[in-house]
Amino acid sequence: MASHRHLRPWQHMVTAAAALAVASCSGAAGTPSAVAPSTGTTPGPTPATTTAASTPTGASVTLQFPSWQQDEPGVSDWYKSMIAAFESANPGVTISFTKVALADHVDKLTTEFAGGAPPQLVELPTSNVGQFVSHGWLHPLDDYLKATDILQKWPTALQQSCVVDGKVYCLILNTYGDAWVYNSKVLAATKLSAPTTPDQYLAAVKAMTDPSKQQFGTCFPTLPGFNMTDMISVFVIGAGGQWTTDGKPTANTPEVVQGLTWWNDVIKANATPLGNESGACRQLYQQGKVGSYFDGPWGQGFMAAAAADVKPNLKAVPVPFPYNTGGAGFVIGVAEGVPADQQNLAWQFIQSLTTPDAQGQYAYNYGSAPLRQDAVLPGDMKTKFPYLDIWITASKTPVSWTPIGLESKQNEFIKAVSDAGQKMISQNVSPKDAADQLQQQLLTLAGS
Amino acid sequence: MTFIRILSGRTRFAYALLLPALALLGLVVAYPLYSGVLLSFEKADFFGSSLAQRGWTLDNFVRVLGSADFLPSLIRSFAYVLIVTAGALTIGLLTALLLNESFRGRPLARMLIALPWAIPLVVATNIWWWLLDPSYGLVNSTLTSLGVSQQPTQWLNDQIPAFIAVCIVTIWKAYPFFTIMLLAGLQGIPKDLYDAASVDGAGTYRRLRHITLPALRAVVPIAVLLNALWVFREFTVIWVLTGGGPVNATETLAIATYRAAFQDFHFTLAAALGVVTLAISLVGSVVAVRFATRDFY
Amino acid sequence: MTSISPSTRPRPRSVQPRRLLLYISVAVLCAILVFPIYWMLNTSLAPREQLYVFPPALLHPNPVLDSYRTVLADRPIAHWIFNSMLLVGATTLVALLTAISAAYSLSRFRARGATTIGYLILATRLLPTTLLVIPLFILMRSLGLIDNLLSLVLADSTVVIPFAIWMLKGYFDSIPRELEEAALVDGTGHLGALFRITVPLAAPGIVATMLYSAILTWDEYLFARTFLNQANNFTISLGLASFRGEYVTYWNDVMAASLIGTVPMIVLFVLLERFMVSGITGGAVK
Repeated sequence: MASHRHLRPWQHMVTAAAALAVASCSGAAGTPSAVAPSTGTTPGPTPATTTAASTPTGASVTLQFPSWQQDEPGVSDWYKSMIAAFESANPGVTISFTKVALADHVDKLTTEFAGGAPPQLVELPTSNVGQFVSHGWLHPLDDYLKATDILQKWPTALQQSCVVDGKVYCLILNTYGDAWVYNSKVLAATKLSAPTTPDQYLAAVKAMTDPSKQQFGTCFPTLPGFNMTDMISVFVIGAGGQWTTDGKPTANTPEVVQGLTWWNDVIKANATPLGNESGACRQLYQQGKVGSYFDGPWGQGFMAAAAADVKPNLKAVPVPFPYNTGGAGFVIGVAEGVPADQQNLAWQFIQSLTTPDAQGQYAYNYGSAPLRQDAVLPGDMKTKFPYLDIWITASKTPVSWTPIGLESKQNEFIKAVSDAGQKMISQNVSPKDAADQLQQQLLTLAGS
Repeated sequence: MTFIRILSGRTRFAYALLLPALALLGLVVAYPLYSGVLLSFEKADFFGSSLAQRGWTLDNFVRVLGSADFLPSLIRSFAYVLIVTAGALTIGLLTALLLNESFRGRPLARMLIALPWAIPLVVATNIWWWLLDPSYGLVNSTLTSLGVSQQPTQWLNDQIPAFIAVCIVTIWKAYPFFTIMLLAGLQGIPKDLYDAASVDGAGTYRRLRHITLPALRAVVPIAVLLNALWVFREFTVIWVLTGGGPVNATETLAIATYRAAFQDFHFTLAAALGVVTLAISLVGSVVAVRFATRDFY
Repeated sequence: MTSISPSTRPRPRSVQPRRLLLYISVAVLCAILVFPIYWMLNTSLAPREQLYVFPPALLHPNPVLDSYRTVLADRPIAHWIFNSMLLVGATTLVALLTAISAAYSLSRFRARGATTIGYLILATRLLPTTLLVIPLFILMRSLGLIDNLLSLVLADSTVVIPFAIWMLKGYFDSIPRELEEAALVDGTGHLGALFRITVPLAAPGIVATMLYSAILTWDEYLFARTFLNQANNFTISLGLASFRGEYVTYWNDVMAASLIGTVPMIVLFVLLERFMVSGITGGAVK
């Protein structure tokens, strides 16, 4: 396995001199695992231990596990109970589960990998997998997986997001499909029923809008970035479009233009407030200011946490378009460039997340379908999540918007789509022109 | 050894006093700078590629300077520096002149006026983000109720308003520095000068023109320079507020550098862009120092 | 607003309208400039369901402290503030000691090459932080300082030092050498003269530098984000930024946390602000 530490001789000299200059620092120089001085001893690169979970007596290992979901209700409870179980089964092993804001998460991982000190456990949005694999940052899991039945029980199509050139680099940790969450009281006032076609959807969203009361039919994230691109993709995929086909950009097909037109209609009808992130949008529907929103299964948690007078009115129906977006939201993998024994431990933790019981708990905490087919589901799932079936059905046939062929340029792709949206909003560029310009940009991106 | 011996004890002592600062800066600035500059000439990004691919090249600079995004980013950087500096200097001058008056409650007023300086950048950005919220923010509701605008201004979604928004936040955070520096300059003016002028019958305007403004001539250039350098490299405000958008409307060189490294994963390009940025600010400040503050050292 | 004279003896007849104008100008200006800070307080007191009301209430009729309870219970804010205070203290100490010594050298000895060194030190303020951050991360890792506040003490003090040297050199320049020379004649060495005579005289400048250092360090975000991992090791800036979670951002919670994280700076500022102007005077005006 290629190590990715590239300190050249002169760099060693400089850092050695520097190390001497900092008197309070002792003996940590050069240890790739010197990540957690606060927990005391960090073992040197010991020879790869056996596959046994325990470490040599007296030694302790800390696995770093940064996550943007560390404090999100639902999924974090599940992670925390899994970590506690793993730690008690493996004395001497600590998993340091730390919070990083989503906006900072990939940037911070980048710095850490580039600096040669990555966390052992790598949680990523699925869309960033290609980038990380292309830099050699993720450790292939094939040897580990051979000994298990995980791949047989895992959603085969979606797990492909983790496969590059025939090697598996991660496990997908959720599958989702979007549904349409709406405020039935606001909709009832318009005398319309829940939409099942795009036209009905546009009519409903417009009818629920009342500018004089700052009341909106829906809310689109319109700050450039992942969430804005995600929402535009709901419409593009919904209309039957694909950003890429067979690895080539197809961003100006009639279907894509149709999707962009629907999205733009909502904007031009002032049926969405502008300048919000998805967080603010969810908050607006929780407070009854916004009539509807597209959301994944995690949306159930927000429905449950809505204001008391709004909560009974929030309902969910399938996306009113021919196709619905979804796929694998995030993945977990093992870092390349850390000692083999730590990689083994990290894998063992990941494996502990995949048992039937663990997967049942996952579904129960998260309100979504478990990944493992034979997961043991708690009995009161349905009472806790009244709209569970809508989302489970949606996650059966979702279409992913990840642009196949441009995976290693994910962030540039996201920016290009956001920019196309921004041009329609602020420069009145037509959907057709925006699509053509986007296609040009994506072609350049694919060629570079 | 000979060199050290010819130094007088006094000179050796002078250098010894400089040593701690130089050692720290050498460790934390010079070494990373050296790596960064090396990186900007490397063929392959410095990780994820084998050593065989390594080599030196000017390609990174060619790509950075030849990119269609470079010139607009550079112009935006200059516009940002210019607008923020002009705005902050104006407010700073106004507040400094007022605070130089003696009146009851002056210490309180001075404290309040300088207070934004103490507000952390992350906090300042959050406050303004909320104030500028297009639908529920106070700024838009005030503008509409005053009849200034009919449609809500899309502060973060429209290109020119987004640029203005970024400037406003930066000015708010930057002006207290001018207030304090200029006030320091004003209070360095001997009282006798004003008294003498009063005796001569000079009016308010003439005192301003002949005593106050010349006195500020010593302070303004250095304050402008320090502020401009800060603004030129400012990252947090823009990144948190707009991320450089919409459609690059607020993408300055600092943002472009960061994006190249952490969004597009082109570290060598980012390093080249960083080196270009450095060269520009170096030239800019040498020129500024030559013209304005000849008596600094 | 047009009156310029600092004289406390204005001519009696013109007093009243002018004073009035002055007071009004000051009051209006203060109100506008400080308003965003008030807005932070006002929003933090808003009940969650009244955040998105149009037009927004200038004063919430029934303020609640819910958001303070929420953020104090959910996040280790006290920890973050403690970390930041530790960081500010250590950084300021390191920066001040090195800057005093360097500024004294530049001000008093004017040794050959020292002027160039002085410019070089100031020129470090030109470096784009985004260029330095990855090599710095590699360095800190080799030193074993990741997730350790010491890494930030090192990085932040080099941000403070150049300006501190410049401010202090200016202040030292304004202190007559004769005072030190008297001490030197008495047999005190240069260091003794520096710490017994010059430093006490430069107290306002030193306090101003401390305040500057504290503000800069309290603010710092990019280094903190790169060098720190565990939520318990966060500085307040980093902690406040982590509120931008994926799913929901409640502005009242964000503002409550922001206010808590700003109070120590405001207190420090209120205590030390009066030194700010006098502290710079020596440096800026010759």
